Amino acid sequence: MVAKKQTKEKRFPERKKFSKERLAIILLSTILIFSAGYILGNKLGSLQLFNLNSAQDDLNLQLSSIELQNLLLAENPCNMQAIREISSDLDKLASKIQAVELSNRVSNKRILQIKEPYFILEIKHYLLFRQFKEKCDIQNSSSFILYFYSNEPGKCDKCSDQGYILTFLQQKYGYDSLKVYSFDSDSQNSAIKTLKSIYNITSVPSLVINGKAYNRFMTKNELDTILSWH
Amino acid sequence: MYLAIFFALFSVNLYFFTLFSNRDKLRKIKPNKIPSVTIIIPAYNEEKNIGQTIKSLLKLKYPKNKLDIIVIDDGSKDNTYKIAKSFGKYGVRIYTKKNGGKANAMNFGLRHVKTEFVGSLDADSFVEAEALINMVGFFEDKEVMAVTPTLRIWKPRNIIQRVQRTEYLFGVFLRKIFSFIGTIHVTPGPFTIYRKKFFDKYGGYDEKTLTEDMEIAMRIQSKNYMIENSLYAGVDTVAPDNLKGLFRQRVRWYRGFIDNAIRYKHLFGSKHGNLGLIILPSALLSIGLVLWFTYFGFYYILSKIITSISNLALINFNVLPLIKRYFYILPSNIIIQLSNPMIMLSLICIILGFININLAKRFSNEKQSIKSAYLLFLLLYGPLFCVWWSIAIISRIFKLNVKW
Repeated sequence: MVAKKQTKEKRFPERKKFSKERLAIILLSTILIFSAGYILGNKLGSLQLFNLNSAQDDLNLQLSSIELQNLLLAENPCNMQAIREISSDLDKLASKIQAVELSNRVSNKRILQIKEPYFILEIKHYLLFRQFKEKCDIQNSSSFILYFYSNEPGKCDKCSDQGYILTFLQQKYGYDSLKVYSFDSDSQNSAIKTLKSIYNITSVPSLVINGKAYNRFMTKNELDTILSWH
Repeated sequence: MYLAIFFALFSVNLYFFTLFSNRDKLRKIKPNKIPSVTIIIPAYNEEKNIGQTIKSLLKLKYPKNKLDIIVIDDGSKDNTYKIAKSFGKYGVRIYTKKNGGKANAMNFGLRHVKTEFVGSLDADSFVEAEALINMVGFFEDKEVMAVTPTLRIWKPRNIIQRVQRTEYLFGVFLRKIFSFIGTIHVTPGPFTIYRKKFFDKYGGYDEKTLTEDMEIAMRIQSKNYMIENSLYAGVDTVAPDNLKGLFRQRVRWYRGFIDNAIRYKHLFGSKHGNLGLIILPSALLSIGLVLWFTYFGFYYILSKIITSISNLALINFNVLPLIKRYFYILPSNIIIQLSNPMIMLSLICIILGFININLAKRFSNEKQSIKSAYLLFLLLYGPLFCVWWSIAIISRIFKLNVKW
C-alpha cells in the first residue's frame, strides 16, 4: 500500500515510447518504398524518351525513302500523299518533344540532343515538299514558314507567344495550304546554321515566309494578311 | 515536394507497422466486472435528435441498475426539455439550467454523478447497443483514464457529408493506432467514458476553451495517464450538411486545437515520448504542408489560367482549330507528363490511403462502398482543410472571438 502511493514519481507506460530499433526499421522501410517508387517513375520517364527516339527513327526512315525514290526515278514523282501524312506525324512528334521539354525532367543539353534529329527531319521535309509543290502543284498556293526561336531564359520573351500563334495558324490553314517549320536558333547543327546564314537570321523571333525574312515578332493579323495575299 | 511525400510515406509506414505489431490487441475485450456508469447528455436546442439519442442509450446492452442517464438542458428555447422529460419514466434524470455552454453543462452534470465512471454523449449522436459493454473492459488497467469510441457519420447523403465520412474513417484508423502508442489527444464529445476519479482530482471540464474534449485529453496526457480506444463501440453522429455549419464547426475545432496546443506546449518534446516527439510535431508539419501546397497549387492554377487567357487574346479567341489539335495530341502528351517519379510516388500514397480507409471501414463495420467518397475526399478536402485552418490561424493571430 505504501509502495503504491508514489504519486509524485512519473508513471510512464512503456507503450508510450517507440524503441530506437523500431523507429530505425520504420525509417528503413520508408526509404525502401520511396526509392522503389522513385526508380519506377524514372524508368517510366526513360521509356517515354525511348519511344520518342523510335518515333523519330521511323520518320527518318520514311523521309529518306521518299528522297531516294526521288533520286532513283528519272521523272520526279509527285508523292504528295506520303508527304502530307508525314506532315501530321512531324506535328505529333513536335508536341511530344515539347511535352518532354515542359516536364522539366531533362537537362537543356539533352533536350537539344533530342531536338537535333527533329530539325533535320524538318529540313528534309521542307526541301521535298517545296520541290513537289513546284513540280506537281500547278496552283502553287501553299505557303512555307520557317520560324527561328530560342528557349534560353531572357533571350526571347516573345517566342512563346509567336509559337502559339503559329500553331494556331497551322491548324487554321491545314497542312495543304501552310507548313510551319520551327528551328531552335541555339542549335549548333551545321544545316540550321546554313539556313540562318541564307536568310540572314541574327535575332529571335524571326520568320521566313515564302522566302522572305522578317526579323521580328508578327501578330496573327499581320500573318493572316501576308498568307492570304499569297 | 519529395520531402512531403517522404514524410507521408513515413507516417503511413509507422501506422501500418504499429497496427501489425499490435494486431493481437484488435479483438473485443470482454470485461471481467461491470461497473456503474453515468452518461451525461448536454443539450441545447436539440429537439430534432435528442429523442433518438436517449433511445439509443436505453437500448444499450448493459445492466439497467448499473447505467445512469442524465440530460442537461442548457437553456434550450425549443422542445428539448419536453422531449427529454418524456423519458423520465425510464429513469432518465433531466435537469434544466440557464445557458452556459457545453463544458459548463457537463460540469453541472458531473456534480450529480454518483458512479465510478462517467461518459459524455452529444445530443445528436446515437450509440450502438454493444458500445458501452465493449468499452468498460479497458478500465481494468488502472492507468486508463478515458476510453474513446469508434466515431462514424450518421447516414451521409450529400457531397459535404460524404467527404466528412472519409475523413472520419481516417480518424477511426488513426485513433486506434494512436491508442496503441499512447498518443490520443482528443477524447470525442460523443460517447467517451472517463474515470470520475480524474475529474475529482484535477477538476472538471475547462469552461473557457473552445474544444473542451481536446483540453481534457491533453490534460490526461500531461498527467501521464492512458487513453484507450474501442473498435467495437460504434457511435453515429450527425454531420453538418451545409458549408456554413461545417465551417463553423471546423474553425471552432481548429482554433481550439491551436489554443490548446499552445497551452499544452510542454507536451512537445522528448519528455512525452511518442506524443511529444512524433505525433504532435507530425500534426503541425502536416497542417503546414497541406496549407503550403494548397496555396501553391492555387497560385499555379491561377497563373496557368492567366497565361491561357493571354494566349487566346493573341489569336482573337478563335479557339476552334486548336480544340481539334488538343484532342489529337493530348493522350500521348499526358502519358509523357505523368511518367515521372513524383506521380508514381503520389500514386503510391493514394493507394495506401485507400487501404487505410478500407481497413477503417472494416473496423467500424460500415457497409456502404467508399470509392466515390474517397475520390471526392481527395479532390475537395485539401482546399477545404486549407481554408478552415487559415481562418483558424488568422483568428488566433488577431485574437478574434470564435463562436460556437
